[in-house]
Amino acid sequence: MAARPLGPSAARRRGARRALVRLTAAAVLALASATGSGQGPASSRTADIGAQVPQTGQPSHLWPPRPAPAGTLAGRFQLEPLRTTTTAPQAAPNQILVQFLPGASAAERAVVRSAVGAVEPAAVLSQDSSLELLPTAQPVTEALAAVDGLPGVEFAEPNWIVRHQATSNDPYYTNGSLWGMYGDGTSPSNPFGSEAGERWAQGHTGSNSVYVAVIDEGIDVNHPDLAANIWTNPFDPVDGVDNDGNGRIDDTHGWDFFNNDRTVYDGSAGSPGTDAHGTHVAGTIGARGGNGVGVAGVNWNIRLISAKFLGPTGGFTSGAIQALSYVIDLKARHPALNIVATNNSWGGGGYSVSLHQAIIRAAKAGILFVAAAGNSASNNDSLPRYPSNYATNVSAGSESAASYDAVIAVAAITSSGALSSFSNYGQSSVDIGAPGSGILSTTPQNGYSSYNGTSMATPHVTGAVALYKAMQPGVGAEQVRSAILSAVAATSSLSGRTTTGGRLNLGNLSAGPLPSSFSKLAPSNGTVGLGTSVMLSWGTSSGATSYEYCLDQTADNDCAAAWISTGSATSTIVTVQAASAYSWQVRALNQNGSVNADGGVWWSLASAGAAMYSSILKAPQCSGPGGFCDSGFLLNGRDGIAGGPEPNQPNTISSSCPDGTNGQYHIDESIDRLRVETLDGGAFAPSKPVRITATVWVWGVANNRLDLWAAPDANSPAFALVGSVSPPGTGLRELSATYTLPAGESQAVRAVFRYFIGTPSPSVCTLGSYDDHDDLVFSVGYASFTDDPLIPGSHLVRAVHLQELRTRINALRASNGLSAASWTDPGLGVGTIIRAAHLAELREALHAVYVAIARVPPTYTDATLAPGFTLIKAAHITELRSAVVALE
Amino acid sequence: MVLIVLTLLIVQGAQAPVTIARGSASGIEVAREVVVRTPAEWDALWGEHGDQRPRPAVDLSSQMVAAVFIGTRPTAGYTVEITGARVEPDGLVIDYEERQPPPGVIVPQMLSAPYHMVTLPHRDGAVRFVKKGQP
Repeated sequence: MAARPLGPSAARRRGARRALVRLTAAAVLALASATGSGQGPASSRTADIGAQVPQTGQPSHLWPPRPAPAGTLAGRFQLEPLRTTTTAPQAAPNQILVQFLPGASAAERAVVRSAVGAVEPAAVLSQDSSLELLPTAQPVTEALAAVDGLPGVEFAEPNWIVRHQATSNDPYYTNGSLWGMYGDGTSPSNPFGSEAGERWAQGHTGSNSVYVAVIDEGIDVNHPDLAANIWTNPFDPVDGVDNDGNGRIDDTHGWDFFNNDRTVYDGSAGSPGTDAHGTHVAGTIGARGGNGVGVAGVNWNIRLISAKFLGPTGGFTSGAIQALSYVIDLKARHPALNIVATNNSWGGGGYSVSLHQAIIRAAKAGILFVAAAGNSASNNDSLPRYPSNYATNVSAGSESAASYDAVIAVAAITSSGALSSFSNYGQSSVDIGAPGSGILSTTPQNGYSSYNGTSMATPHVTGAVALYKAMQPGVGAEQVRSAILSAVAATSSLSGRTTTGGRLNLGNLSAGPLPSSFSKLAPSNGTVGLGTSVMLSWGTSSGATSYEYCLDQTADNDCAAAWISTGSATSTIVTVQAASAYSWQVRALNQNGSVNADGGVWWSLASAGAAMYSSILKAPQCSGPGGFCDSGFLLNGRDGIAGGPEPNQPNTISSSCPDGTNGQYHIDESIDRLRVETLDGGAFAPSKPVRITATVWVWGVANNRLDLWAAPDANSPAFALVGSVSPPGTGLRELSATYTLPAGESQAVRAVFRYFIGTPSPSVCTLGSYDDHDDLVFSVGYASFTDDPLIPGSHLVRAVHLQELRTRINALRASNGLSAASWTDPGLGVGTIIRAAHLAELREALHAVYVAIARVPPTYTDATLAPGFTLIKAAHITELRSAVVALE
Repeated sequence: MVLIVLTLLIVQGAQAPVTIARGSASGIEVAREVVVRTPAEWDALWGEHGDQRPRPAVDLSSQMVAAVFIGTRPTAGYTVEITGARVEPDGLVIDYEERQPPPGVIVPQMLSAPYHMVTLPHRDGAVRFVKKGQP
């Protein structure tokens, strides 16, 4: 094994992070293995080329906070014992199922019912009325005994409570550590959890169209359990310019108001405590779930915006105002950013008119303000705590009141339902309780830690707001708040201590009757070669009040763009870009929520020039000849690396070259996109110059190299090197090289993006553990002709038509061992009268080629050309062209 | 002669602590003042402290570890610092100071357990911790 070289300081820092990534991944995998997920050990690290350097070892000061071993979390900030129960079969109380024998009489049935105290069945469950669900006041075991052996009874059994399958495969969820996400119907279970797991089991795992701002410390945006859910600002790309005019240059993931810079994460391997609180909070709201790694947040899919204002020594009201104002401005400036809430796990300072006004402005923008009640075990009714004691339905200075209260004040509870010993409370000032003791979540440098505090309870509620908004996108902020607070589970420890007297309970959120299921109609799934104007259509959903569609250029079955309403219309015309692939979905909405068409399955479509994955070739392929071929999102990422697994990886023809398996998405090397296009904009044809462009993520300039290869036959690829390109900088880069197309109907290009040490030497399939290899297959037609096609009546046969046939026929003759033909009027040009002799000699010269290669020569219109009588027509030229192309 | 003795006393009396670990999230949640002089004690303390990072290497033949854990505090923003060590007639005195979030400062609402660990030249005999503001 070889580590990346430790050279300049920057490289050394990166190298250090490499060590952390690998080591912590190993720890997580080990945990997963211990909990039965069956993952193997972390793969080794290899460079593809050059000398192997010694393992550097693990610097002792760089070890990050690591996951506590399974079952030992109680040792770290675990004030109250963690209670998690394993699931054993449980029967519904006061019910039994009785199966009567065929022909059981009404009298026999009456005796059976009477034996358990039932007057009539609660339900008849079979077509022939032989299976009855009987209510009973007796314990289930006694009721079963009472009917056992009675005439007419075939059998009786408990009405087992059917529990949801655990949908999360995240090791800290499955091993019982994530009690705040559990419910009484999950496995593992905990009745005092938020019941997020029950919503997941129903398919509600959040949406990338819902945004939450974390006003706090920063967030480790590279944490593998968070990276995929971190917002990346599309309105202000990293170019040193404030593109969207919000006063913040390159606010890629948010803004750091503490340091007034764009870097929202300021920690390092040597300071794993930096931004730990913000990262922990973010993980509870939206750590990626179902990825087999670490923890799961309330939302598996969400967009998290970091508005950092807390530093190592805390922060000030001014910073909080700046952070909140930034979020409000983002939403106003970019309405597509569906920011539904801010999470505010902080407190201190007294009442501030300015902050109060900002919170009211947020309310007016439809942004809820979820706030920690505080950790001083005191009553907020008598000793107000801010910001949780603010209300937005009252005015503040010159800021008029909002129409509703947007603040949700959150107390903390333990895994046994008690109010956490430190938690503040308030019958009129604290709204709800949520899990806040022994909460495991993400911490920087790929860590996981268990923390306590109302800080930890708050993001459970913020996460619930986001999840509910994803479930019911049509409801407003006031309704969301009302729904969350109305759905609480009554909890004795919170009675008289919160306005609701209850704890967060996602399972109680009422969705009401939803629109009926429906299907998309056209264009059918997988349609390719579309023009740039496409009509989407779908069927009718009963109960729907409106429809929304999403046309997305990602393949993650989630809407990264925006849902766009069509009102009640069941079709719409959309504009797509050339050479682009899309996925699309439609949802029907009513006041209770939404239903996605086709059970949530997204359909794909592609305009001409966009590649679709070929299950035969095992690589993206463009159908039909064109002038460009683009992989779109089909190559994004690499192998199965965290945060960015490549769809259909490895995407090399016949899976001939696997990708490296080390690293993280958009930290380490990957090829994200591949495009081939002619330089002249015309169709692919032999002898034409084309450009290959690869969009790659560069880890290190000195150690990364892109090799581009081409093969004339994709079905039996013999790749030849087109060129090697050194990246000019790190991060996302477009690198390209040009070459001349050889002959061949179905051709391929391969990009190899590799990490090397020492002297790079290209290879069509490298073995480095950070290397990515991707192929793109495209069709090449024949070299075009002037006026192609020739249209009878529109095109006159001209000298140029004959001249290019002469050239290509002689090329064919040469490639088949024949001497060049000589031509009448060799200087054929404008003014030359096109005669039958010209055509005849072309036919003769080509005929010789057919004979030479034992092919049946073509037959022609006007087989016998009569000089002076036969008029040379477009058809004559067209058939000759076809005969030439058939041999090319 | 007297001047030489006084100079030696001054040199020996002030001992500069060298930080080896400091933070706000110890697994030791009850206040404790500790001196570690053996590898076994150092292993035990680091394990109880619960830091997942490797235990810092300390040559306990020539050095010793002094640590202060101030227990659980209701929020972030609390810190502890060992500010110095001095030799007094009754033994080694280690001075430390706890700092609270300044009034009006906003802090995360997360329980914390601040700690500070330092190395000092190895010294047998009595050690007394003195918290600033307390006798």
